[in-house]
Order: sequence, then C-alpha cells, then structure tokens
Amino acid sequence: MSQSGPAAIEVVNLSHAFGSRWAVRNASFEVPQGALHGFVGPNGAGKTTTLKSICTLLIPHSGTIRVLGLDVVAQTNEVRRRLGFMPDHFSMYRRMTVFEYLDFFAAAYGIPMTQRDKVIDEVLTLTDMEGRREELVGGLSRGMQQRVALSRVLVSDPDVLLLDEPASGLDPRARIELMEILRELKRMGKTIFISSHILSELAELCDSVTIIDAGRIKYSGSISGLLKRPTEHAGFRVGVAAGSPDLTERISSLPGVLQTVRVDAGNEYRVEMEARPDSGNRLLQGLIAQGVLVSSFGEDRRHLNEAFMDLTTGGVG
Amino acid sequence: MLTGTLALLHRALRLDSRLISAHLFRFGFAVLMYFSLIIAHLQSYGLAAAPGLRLFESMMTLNVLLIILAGISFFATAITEEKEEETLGLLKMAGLNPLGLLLGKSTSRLINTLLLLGVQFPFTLLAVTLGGATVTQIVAGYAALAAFLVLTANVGLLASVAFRRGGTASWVVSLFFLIYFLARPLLDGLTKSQWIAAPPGSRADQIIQAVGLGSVWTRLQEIFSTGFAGPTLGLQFWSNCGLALVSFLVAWGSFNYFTNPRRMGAATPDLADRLQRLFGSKRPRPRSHPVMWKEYQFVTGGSRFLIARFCCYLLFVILGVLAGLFWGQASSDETAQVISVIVLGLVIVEACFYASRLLHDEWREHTLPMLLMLPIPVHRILLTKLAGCVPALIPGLSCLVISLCFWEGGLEYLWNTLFLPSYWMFVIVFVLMLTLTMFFSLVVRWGALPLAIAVMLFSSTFAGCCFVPAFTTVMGTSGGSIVGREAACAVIDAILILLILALQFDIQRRLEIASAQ
Repeated sequence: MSQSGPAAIEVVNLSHAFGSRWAVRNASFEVPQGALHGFVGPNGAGKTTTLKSICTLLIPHSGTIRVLGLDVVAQTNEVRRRLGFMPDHFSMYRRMTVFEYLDFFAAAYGIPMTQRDKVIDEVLTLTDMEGRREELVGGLSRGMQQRVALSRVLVSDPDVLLLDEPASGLDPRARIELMEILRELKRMGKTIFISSHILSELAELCDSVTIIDAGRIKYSGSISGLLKRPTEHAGFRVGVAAGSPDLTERISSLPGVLQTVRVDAGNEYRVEMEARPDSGNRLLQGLIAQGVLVSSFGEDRRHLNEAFMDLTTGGVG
Repeated sequence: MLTGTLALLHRALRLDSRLISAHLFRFGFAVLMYFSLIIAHLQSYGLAAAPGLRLFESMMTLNVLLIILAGISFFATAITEEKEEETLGLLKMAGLNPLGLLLGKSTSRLINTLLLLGVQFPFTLLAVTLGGATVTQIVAGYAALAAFLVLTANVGLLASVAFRRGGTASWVVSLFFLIYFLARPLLDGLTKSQWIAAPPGSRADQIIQAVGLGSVWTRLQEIFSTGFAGPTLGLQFWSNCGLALVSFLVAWGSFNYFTNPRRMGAATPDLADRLQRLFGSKRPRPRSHPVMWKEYQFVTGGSRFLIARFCCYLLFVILGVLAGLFWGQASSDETAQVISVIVLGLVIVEACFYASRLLHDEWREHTLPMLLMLPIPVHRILLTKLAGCVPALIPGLSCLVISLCFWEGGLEYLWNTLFLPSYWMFVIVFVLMLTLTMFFSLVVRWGALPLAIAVMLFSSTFAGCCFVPAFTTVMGTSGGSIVGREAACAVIDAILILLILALQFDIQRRLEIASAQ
C-alpha cells in the first residue's frame, strides 16, 4: 500500500438524516491512497448514503469529507474530476453505442478529441470490450453493461474509484473477471472503495475494510486485524492426517497449551496457547515430537462472515 | 380468473385509498364544484339568465376537460406501468390471463372516475332549482359523459397494451382526442371550402353528420340548448360505448402479442435510429458541448431527422398552398393563414414533446447521478440540454415563415409583433408551460404534459382574475392608449419571466435531489 500525500478518502464525523431517521451518525474513517478498501454493512446500514456523500451527490448534514485533500462540499468540481462513481443500479444511455457512450463522457470530462480515441481504446482493452465498441449499450448482457459502466468510470482516469455493489447480479464468471479488473486497477495505483455484500470476495480482494451498521462505523482497518480473534491468547488450527481418541489430551499436555478443541469431531483441532512470539513454532515442534502426522497448520483466524455477524445487528438506526 | 382479477382490483383500490395525491385530486375537484356553485348562486342574484343552465354547462365542460386529462395520464398507463416496472411477467406467472389482467387493471380506474362523476350528480341537480336546466338535460348530460369516460378508459387501455412506455401511450391517446374533437370541424371546413364535395343529403354529408354526432362536445351542445327534448341516450352514447367495446376487444386480442417477453425485451430503435441505420453513416462525435450533442442526437433525432422534418413541413406547406389555390375556392391569404396556424400548432406540440422528455428520460433511466457527477455546474447542464433541443424547432419555424410568405403582409405582421410586449406574452406563457412540463416531469412518473396543461388552464383563469383589475387600472390611467396597454403587458411579461426563473431554480434543486435518491 503506497501512502503519499493526503488520504484518498477521509470522512470525519459524517452525519446525515432522512426526515427524523439518521442514515449515518458520526461516521469517521480513512482510506489511504492506493488501497483497495471494502465497505460492508447490512441493508439500510447507511452505505449508499455514505457513498453518495463522498461522491458529491449528497450534501451531508454535518461532518467533513475530503477526497485527496479536497473538500467535497467546497471543491465539488475538483473532486468530481478526480473521482469516478459507479452506482449500484444500471444507469446507462441505452440507445448509444459503447463507443458513443464513452466518447460522450470523455468529451464531458474535457478530454480533447485527438486524445479520446487513445483513451477509449485503452479502457476498452482493460475491460476486454474492444470487440463490442459499435454495439448498442441496451443490447448488451448485464455483465457486459457492468464492464461498460466501469469503462465509463475509467475514461476520465480518476485517482479514486467508488463502486457501489459492482458485482451484484453478475454470474460467477463475470464476477471473477470483474475482480481481476479491480486487481489490475489497484496495480495501476488507483484507490478503490468498493461497497459489496459478497464477503468472501472482499476478504480476498481488499487490504482494508470498513463495517457500518445502523449508521455507525463498527470497524475500520486492515482485513487481517478484523479477522484476528478478539482474545489475548494465540490461536492455531492444526490438521492431522489421522485422528486418534487421545490426541486432544496429547496436544493439551504440550508446554504452553491452554486449551484444545476438536473441530466438528473431524481431523482438525483448535489450539489456544500463551501469547508469545514463538508460540506457533513451539506447538509445531511439540506435535512433531509427539509423532503426530500434521497435514495443515495455521493461525486460527475468523472468517469475514463471522466477524461481520459479530459486529453487526442488522437493524437500522 | 375471477380471484386474480378481484385481487388486482382490491390492490388497486387499497393503493388508491392510501395515496395522498388521489385525495388531493378529489379535494381539488370538490373545490372546483363549489366554485361553480358559488358563481351560479351569485349569478342568480344578478341579471344573468338561466344561472342553473350556466352551472350545468360549466360542470359538464369541466368534466370533459378532466376526462381528457385522465385519459392521457391515468388510463394510458394502466398496463404500461406494469411493463415499465417489469412486473407484468410476475402477474402472468400468478396465473392471470389477459382478460383478468385487463379487467383488474382498468376497472379500478374506471370505478374511481365513474364515482367522481356519480358523486357530483346530486349537486348538479341544484341547477334545476336555480333555473334554466331540466332533469332530462342533466341525466342526458351525465349519460354522455359516462359513455365518453368509458371510451377514454378503453382507448387508454388499448394504447397502454400496444406501447411499451407510458409516455408514448399518452401521446397516442392525445392524438386520438385530437382526431375525436377536430374531425367534425375539419370535415366541415373542408366541405365549406369545397375541398370535399358533400352536397346536403348526400352519403358524404351523412357520414360527416354522423361523425359530428359521435362527439361528446356536439352532444353536449345539443343538450345545453333550451327546450332540449332529445333522447336520454343519443347516438353519441351508443357509438362511444361501441367504440369502447371494440377498443377493449382489440386490447384483449392483441395483449399476448404486445406483451410477449421477446418483444418487450428487445432493444428496439426509435424512428431517428432507424433513419440513421437506413442512411448507414455514423453520428458526428461530441465536441465542446457534449450534453448539447447528446440532446440533439438522442432526444431530437440529430441532423438527418431534422432534414426529414424540414422536408415534411415544407411538403405540407407546398401541398396545402397548392390544394388551396387549385382545388379549393379559398384565397391564398386564407389558405396561408390556416397553414400557418397548423404549422404553429405542430411546432408547439413538438416543443412540448421535447420539454416532457428532456429530464424525464434521465430520471426514468436512472442516469441523473452520472450526469450530475460530471464536472459541469447543474445550471449549465440544464441550459445546454435546452440548447440541444432548440435546433429541432428550426424546421417548423422556418416553414412557418415560408407559409407566412404566401399571406400578403404576413411577414410584416410577424415583424411588427416582434416589438410588442402584448405579443411576447403568448411566447412567454408558452415558455412557462414548457418549464412547468419540465418541472412536472421530475415530480410525476407519467403525464407531466397533461398536468402542466391543466395547471396552466386553471392558473390562467386565476391569474386572469388577478391581472385584469391591474390591467384595467393601467389602461385607465393611460387613457386607453396603445403605449399604456403595452406597458401593462410588459409588466405582466416581467412577472411571468420571474416565475419561469423561479421554476428553473426549483428544477435545478429537484435535479440534485433526484440524483441523490
């Protein structure tokens, strides 16, 4: 993750209400430049309100939002030039061809006609849409339309991309291809802020994540920090080639082991040890010394689903 | 089938009872009724003859207007709303057959409007007490209105089955009303100018008379006449009901064809796209004003469509003038006047069409957030959108000037009016109506144009009441001179321009709200 200059997105005490209902309350988080940041929350948690506030479409009731150091309320046009937003619904000029659609947005962003062809060719290559440039947008499949929408966002070469549920409604293949494109964009140095419900993909894709629930930020930080179990002890998962009835006792008798639990009566054990820098090393050495055939060994981490369920309630504030 | 139909009907009625807009509409209607009653009551104190008949006339006219508006907005969207929300397939999957769907969707709307007619009947009977109207006249009047309402509902239903979008269906219903009401005067005009040979008593004359008798307007004029002794259910009642039945049967028969998922799912190019494809060349690329380019190419159809429209207008003017000169007995001045008025009417219709689509298309296609995210201020987006539509009016306006050339002194007349505030007022009022249409296209899902027309009609009556005393005062102080009249008109023009500007600001605000939703 490259951090140079101001944060890509900086949200401080953001609050916004619709009537008497608070959609977002005192939300604060930061996304560093070059990060691929996930934004997760149950339905009605305030994700879209936050996204729309960041992308200048909604003026928040209180709080400040800066994109690359620019205030979204005071410097709206500058922010819009450096930010690309892809909404969650398909909003496209269906009667334009793919080329006309991208050409229109390129012209609207002030790209001279001499450069537009090159820019459009580049984004179409990146999104693997070169062969579709003369097709009507309305005639494309959902996955293809999503690629056109992403091309539209990229045509102005924004530094920060805001994607609201980009994979919703896509088939598995289109979803995987989209994730590949996002990884490529990250490699190109773009900051990507992605709101999604597909937790497994976010866990694979993102460096950091913000979890929002009932309008309040529940967690904002690295994925690894979120997945670590909230305990002062060190946890490990040990897979064995063949289990034996006394293996739990044998593992528990190893030095430093506090607790051993057999997972679902299978060949996997969760071992809790005293938190020391060499805990994992000691456990593995002890197991081998005991003659246990270890098939897998790793830190005991939570799944993102588990962390999400622990942090959220599903209610709306 | 009956269970599904009743479920649809039940849902529609429940939904209607929860909608505040429906109650506000009924409230507005009640206010208008009481307003008419108060005026009739005041007339009964004065010297006006037959105040009851005047009350009856105003109630009937008001109802005809409301039925027309309901036809364009309310009935024309019965099925299109399900198509646009993509829920028609779900209703079909629920086991509803075409007949059940048509009955379920249209009956609730018909019941609602028939109830509105029914509820005012006892109030209209007061016209008998006030004097000048008989019970027979009132019953015949409401029967004529009911038949017209049933016809409107079924023509609207047919249009909503045949077309994919509510806007298109509304335009088709508007066209139907244009033919329905203008058929008789047009045929009469053509007969008088001897473009059509229809001597009294001939077959052609009988057809023209029958067409006239089928119109609710002609029937109401007959009913309003003193000493009316015609049948309660006239030819208009039966012909309107018959046509309604035919419309319903056609809607039923063609339902499966028009609502076929393949047909509905296909991206069909519009007329401008077809012309583009026919000539096989690409559209020019956007340059310094891309928003203007977009409107010009995709809302108005671009240069090819502009040339096609110019050719059509020119052909109409030339053929009209030639027909008037060689086949008719009208003078070139008369012919040119008629043609100029028709061309002006067409330009107005065209402008209304663009105004209703300008923002509504963006709203419906959910493209407003993308558009407003462009690094261009909202007011400039709005202005460039308008500027993109202006060239589309050039063919109509240039042909209007051409048609004026055939009218001796026509161009001079046009030139002189350009400097008179009293004539600007018509243009300003028209721009106000276009602005209102744009405003309503962001407020209501369907029928922005009929709503704008209705608001303009009612507000012009109200504004007339407010402006006339001020106008009379100014005219009085200036001794009735032309300068005084024009000064008074200039003040009214300025007020209207301020109103337009205020509406434009509100449109900007609503655009920002809509983009954030």
